[in-house]
Amino acid sequence: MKLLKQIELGNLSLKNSMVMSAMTRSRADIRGVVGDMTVQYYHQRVSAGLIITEAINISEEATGSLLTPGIYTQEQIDAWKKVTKAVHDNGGIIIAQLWHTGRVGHSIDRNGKLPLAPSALPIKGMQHFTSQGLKDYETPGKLPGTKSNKR
Amino acid sequence: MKAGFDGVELHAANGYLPNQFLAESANQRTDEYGGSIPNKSRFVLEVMQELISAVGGDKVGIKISPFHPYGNMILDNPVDTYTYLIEELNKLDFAFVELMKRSPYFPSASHYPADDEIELFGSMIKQKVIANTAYDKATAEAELEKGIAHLISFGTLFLANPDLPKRFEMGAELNQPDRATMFGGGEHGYTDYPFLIK
Repeated sequence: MKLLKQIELGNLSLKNSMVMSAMTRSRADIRGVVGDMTVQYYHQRVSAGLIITEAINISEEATGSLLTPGIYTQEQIDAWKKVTKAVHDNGGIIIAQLWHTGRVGHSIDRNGKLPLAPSALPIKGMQHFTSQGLKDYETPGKLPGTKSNKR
Repeated sequence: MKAGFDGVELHAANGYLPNQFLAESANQRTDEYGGSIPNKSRFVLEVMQELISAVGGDKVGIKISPFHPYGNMILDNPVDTYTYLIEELNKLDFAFVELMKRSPYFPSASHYPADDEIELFGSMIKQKVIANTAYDKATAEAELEKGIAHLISFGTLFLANPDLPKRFEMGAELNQPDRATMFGGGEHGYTDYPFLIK
């Protein structure tokens, strides 16, 4: 089976050609910190050739939904260290998916701040899952014309 | 990388910020980040260059979903836009492109072509291609046999089957994912999916 064949990816040597894709699971705490449950979740899946984490917010500004994890405070980084150590100690490989949600957010869960996007155009035909239920998307603010804040 | 990760993937799919720059339904800018296809693509390419210089290209990948409309992503010309983006990405030295197909649950706009994304775009990509969305064991194996994609990524199958490679190898039954516990909650539906043999 080709799926079970070893493969090189960048500088990584994967034990099979099966990747776990990023999936939002919304089990971080209110400060975007993942806990022991998340360590166990990824640890259990180390037989994947490669694990791609759930999308991780690169800043507070990038965040669109509550309980999604971040990687911009020391506390968040220290929490992810426990995940990567558990995966590595058990023969797995894990990379972080970096996330900026742009207009896919709601001010209800952003301390009242509107999301920022390329232009002030709201999402049509969908609603956002917020801490106060499904809400129509708001018209986002327009990002200034600077280089991105994604490091 | 301080957190011990082996690499990073830029999420430029599913209607999030990098994807928004590529779509006229979210980007009507008149500066150098909007308007023409090169301008719309500039944000994604600059972020990739930053990531490559920050952590090294061999540890960098990107996820794109050219025909997936989630998040109200409507491009005037999706084929030309993504063809340009891929040609420019091909000039950068990095590890992989995760190419996400549209989902049957999210039909594309009527002006979108019916082409298979892996055949159309995957064949243009210089980096390793990870094919994504709705694969099972048979369709995944068939996709690898075609020779365009090098790897296959699975979402809910890995969610529900922590030992998915072993189950494929043994031809074992698969646990079914529970939609109700996918987002939020505790251990149920997260860490309690059973292994074949523990």
